[in-house]
Amino acid sequence: MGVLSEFKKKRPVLLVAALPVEARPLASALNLKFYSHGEYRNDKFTLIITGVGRIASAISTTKAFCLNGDYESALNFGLCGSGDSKHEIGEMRYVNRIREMCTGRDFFPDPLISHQWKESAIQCHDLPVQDRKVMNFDPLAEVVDMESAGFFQAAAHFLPPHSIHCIKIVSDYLNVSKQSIKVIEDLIHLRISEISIFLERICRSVIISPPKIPANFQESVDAISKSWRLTKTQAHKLNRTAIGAHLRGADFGLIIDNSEQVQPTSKTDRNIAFRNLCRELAQ
Amino acid sequence: MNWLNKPFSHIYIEHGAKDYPTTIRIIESFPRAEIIFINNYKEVFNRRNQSFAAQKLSQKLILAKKKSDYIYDGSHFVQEGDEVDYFYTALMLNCLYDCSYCYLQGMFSSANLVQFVNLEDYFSSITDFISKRENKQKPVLLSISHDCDLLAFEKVSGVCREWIRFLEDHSGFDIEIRTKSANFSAIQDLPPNDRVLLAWTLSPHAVGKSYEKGAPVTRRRIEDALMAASHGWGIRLCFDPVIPVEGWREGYSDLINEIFCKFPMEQLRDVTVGTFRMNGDYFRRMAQARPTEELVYRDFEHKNGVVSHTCDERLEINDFMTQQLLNYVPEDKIRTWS
Repeated sequence: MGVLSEFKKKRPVLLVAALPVEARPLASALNLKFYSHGEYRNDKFTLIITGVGRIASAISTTKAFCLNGDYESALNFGLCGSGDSKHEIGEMRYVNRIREMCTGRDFFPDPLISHQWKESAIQCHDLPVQDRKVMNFDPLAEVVDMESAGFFQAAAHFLPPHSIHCIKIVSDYLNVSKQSIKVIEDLIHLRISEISIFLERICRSVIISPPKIPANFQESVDAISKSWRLTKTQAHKLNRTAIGAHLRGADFGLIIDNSEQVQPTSKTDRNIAFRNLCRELAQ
Repeated sequence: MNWLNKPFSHIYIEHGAKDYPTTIRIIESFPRAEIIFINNYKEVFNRRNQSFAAQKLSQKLILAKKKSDYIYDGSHFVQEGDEVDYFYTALMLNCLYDCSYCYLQGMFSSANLVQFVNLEDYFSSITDFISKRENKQKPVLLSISHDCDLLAFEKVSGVCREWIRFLEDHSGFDIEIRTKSANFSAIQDLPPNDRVLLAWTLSPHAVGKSYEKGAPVTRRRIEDALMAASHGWGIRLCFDPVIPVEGWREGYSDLINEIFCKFPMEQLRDVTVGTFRMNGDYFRRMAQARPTEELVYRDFEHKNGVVSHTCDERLEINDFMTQQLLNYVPEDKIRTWS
């Protein structure tokens, strides 16, 4: 039995960035096309630009899910600051814990998918952080941003935690001087190939889709349900029993073929035939 | 699947659990693991919308401190008779293995492993519990491997070893360590203790292959049980649950013959036999969480909140197993759940 339904169901990945300067290099590398204001798309990805801040990120992420709830996974990509000058500018961080500073709550993405970056906890503030002392509120969270907590809480309403990811590029040391757009885009461009590899991985579904019986047998099972006038409960049970037989690798073609010949004329006969069919399938 | 993180790539540690010797020992076993500090294990373990099936592909470890409820009354799903008081303790939540019939899939929303590290608190709790018991004549059996497979994790955690050592200085109760592992070597240097019951769950090869993913093959479990018996430990063998698959009678009959033709019977405490049974709510959740498991499509009986085979099927399975076992084992050592 296959464990993973790789690329079986092509659901897009939602990419969430706060600023156009963060989104542009991604849109260009992934060949995304303008779809609507603040939204770029292709078959595999939808990129939205949310604006700065926790609330803006939560609102835009929720809106994206409500307009198309069927995303495989969601990724918050953006810049972050660091209070530690040991971190290099341009370093990538995979976020494994998000501390929402205004509430003190922690959120945990479920890191099932491998990547090549260092991991960090992140502090999500409502205002730009310029004072390094602020970092002391949670010294284990080494980097700072303004969107991750909003993004995560919104995405967690629609996706399991292993499908929600935050990756950040360290862009400053909490200093006031603004980086130029060109510098930021260059920082992101340097990491684009790594990010692309990770994006390919999160396109895949880890969750196994419910099993189905082969289409021709499904048709026969449906035909029996109809011609025997099975109740909804009976039809459901027959379907499940057939799936179980299929999972056991049972060859139930003959059983189904024989049952199709049976034409019960009363409810009592129907119920007996149904019981017999289920018993044979269950063996 | 090299795009998934390896098992235990991440270890979540409660702030209050970080200084315990068990924690330090476990962390040393995973030097490359990413350590994430948390306030309470429930923040991670009880997250909503988790996928048990997905998490089984890359289990994470959570080290936590148990704050209350160290000892629980035994479940009515176990075969212990009235002659002992049966209790269990939750030292670990979840299991390394991925058995199709396991109730943990319905009991927990997460497949991640929680290891409680404050063993001293457990020890004082059981000491206190034993001293306050009213019926001190009745033996107590405490299962320390109830919602988990503690011996499977022993080389990392060393928890079984701690309990066996604790037992040497504290009387009034026996412990059961039930496992599907082939990990007796982790405790084989300890002198055998007749107050420790080592219990192996065994299934025919066909059942093990299809329904006990990740667990050692039956041959290795038998070898391990034999080795433990030869070292002088008391052994319980569990055919539980007996899964009726095609040719199950031959499979279980061959398995019983294979074990008992060489098992030193003086070391056999008892044999337990049981059919599949599960709390109805757990079964419903398991069916949702593991839609690819064949067992969830079986036509089980739902009665009094319990999902199981029908009474006739249970009788048939138990009778067959009992008849087979009676060729080797006296009747008073066979315990069945029905």
